Amino acid sequence: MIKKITLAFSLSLMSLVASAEVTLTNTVFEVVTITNEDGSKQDKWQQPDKLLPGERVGYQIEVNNKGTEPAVDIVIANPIPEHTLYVQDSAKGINTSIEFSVDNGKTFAQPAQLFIDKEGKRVQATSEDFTQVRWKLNTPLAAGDSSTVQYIVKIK
Amino acid sequence: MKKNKFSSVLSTSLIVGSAFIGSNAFAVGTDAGTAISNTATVSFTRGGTPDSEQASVSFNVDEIINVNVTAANASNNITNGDDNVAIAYTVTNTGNGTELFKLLDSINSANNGLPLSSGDLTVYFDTSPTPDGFDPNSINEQLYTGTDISIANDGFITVYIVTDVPNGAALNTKSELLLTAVSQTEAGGVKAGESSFGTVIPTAGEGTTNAIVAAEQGRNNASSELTVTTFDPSKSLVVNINKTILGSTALISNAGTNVITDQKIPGSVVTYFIKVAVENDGATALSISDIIPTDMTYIANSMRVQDAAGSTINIPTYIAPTLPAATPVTYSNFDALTDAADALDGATTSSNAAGRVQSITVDLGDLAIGEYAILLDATINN
Repeated sequence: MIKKITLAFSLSLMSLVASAEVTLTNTVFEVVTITNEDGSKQDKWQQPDKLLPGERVGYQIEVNNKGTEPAVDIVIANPIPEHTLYVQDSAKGINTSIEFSVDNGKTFAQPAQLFIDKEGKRVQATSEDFTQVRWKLNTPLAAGDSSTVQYIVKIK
Repeated sequence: MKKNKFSSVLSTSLIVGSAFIGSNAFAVGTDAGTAISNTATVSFTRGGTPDSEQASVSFNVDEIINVNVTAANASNNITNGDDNVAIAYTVTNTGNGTELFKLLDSINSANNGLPLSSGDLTVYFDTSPTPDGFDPNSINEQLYTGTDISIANDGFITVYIVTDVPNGAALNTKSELLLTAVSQTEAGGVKAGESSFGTVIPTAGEGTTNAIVAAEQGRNNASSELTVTTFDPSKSLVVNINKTILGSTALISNAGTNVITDQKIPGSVVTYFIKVAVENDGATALSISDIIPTDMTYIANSMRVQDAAGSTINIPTYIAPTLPAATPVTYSNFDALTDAADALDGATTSSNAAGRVQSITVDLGDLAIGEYAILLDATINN
């Protein structure tokens, strides 16, 4: 099932760099809220059929070590796309340290340590101020392994 | 193989709900067709050598089709007989792409007391950002003739529905006018103007993006009411009656010599001309009565009528009847009426006990604005 969906995405909305033994794929989804049978609500990532202002877009970025030796010091960095805003607490990645930047990637820190200048005052940055998100993998990626991180933005 | 993947969010078998799109909920956002690209970079070290890879993905923002129509006033105070009353509406493109719209004006048939008919309405529109009210002579106001109007995203036009108020509209009567703006977007046979809320029309958006209908049936409307709050009696129905003598003819005989004279002497046959003018508004069940003077005798079956709707009536040229028979003369455009009480032509006479006709009556029924006339003959008693 997963394989089938991924294949469909690869036709139009996924780019794949396969020149090296470590590959990176970046896939875009439409994130919608669905209601479960018990009335609870939950996000669902689906193939986009419409991407509109105000809607949420999810990015899944997969790093894949297709080589024969482990890769270490793996860092995945992603600028928040133009015309979008980072959705608070949406960046996820198993066994990763996630940091953000508010200065286009010059510096990265945890959200609580990020500040911006607003009308001459140094104030706590909000998620909408984030310009980049960065994942540091806490463990090496063994040959044949892959790791996926994700985050969500809202289209302005 | 180890896979740190968030596969659960993709494989859930849940009841699929639809994305929430509130009607008019979106402020106009990023323009439809805008490309949003995302490039991720991974850096790593392998075998002691640093390296990096990039992966990009891009999509174009799809188009929201949405429109909002508002009326400047929920209610407008008017006077019967007012001309060029303009009701102002604003049509705003609340989508994120330039859009063609058609305008529809209509009357709420359940709230039309003036009353108005669709033919009474004219639509003008003004694309200026600072509309200054309706003026039919202003270059800003264009007559809407059914051609689709392009409105940029977040742009608006001002629309006026213009009407004359019927002269006979009574105090406190109302009519409700609606303006509807309908998106003209369509692709692949799917029309936004016929699609339910949430319909996605592939390739119909800017730059062949998809378009989503965020206004039910791709349209929106607003209503505004006209209320007669001031009644001007001079503009309501007026019926003028004017009675004149068209002419008279008498025959004087003496020792076999006959002389015709137009002097009004005993024995003269007098032809009366009664003109009825209905002004400002149509009249209902209009009836004209005329009393025959006591010294005159009505000539039987001499009532003639001209009652074609809305005509203008000129005083006919008098034609003298032939005496002594005094048969009523036929005038062009006048129809002969009968005196019989059971006739359906509306003409009756009223007689006293002695059989003398004291008055005549002609029921003209419902009359449109215009002029009507009656002719009748009577003889001056000897």
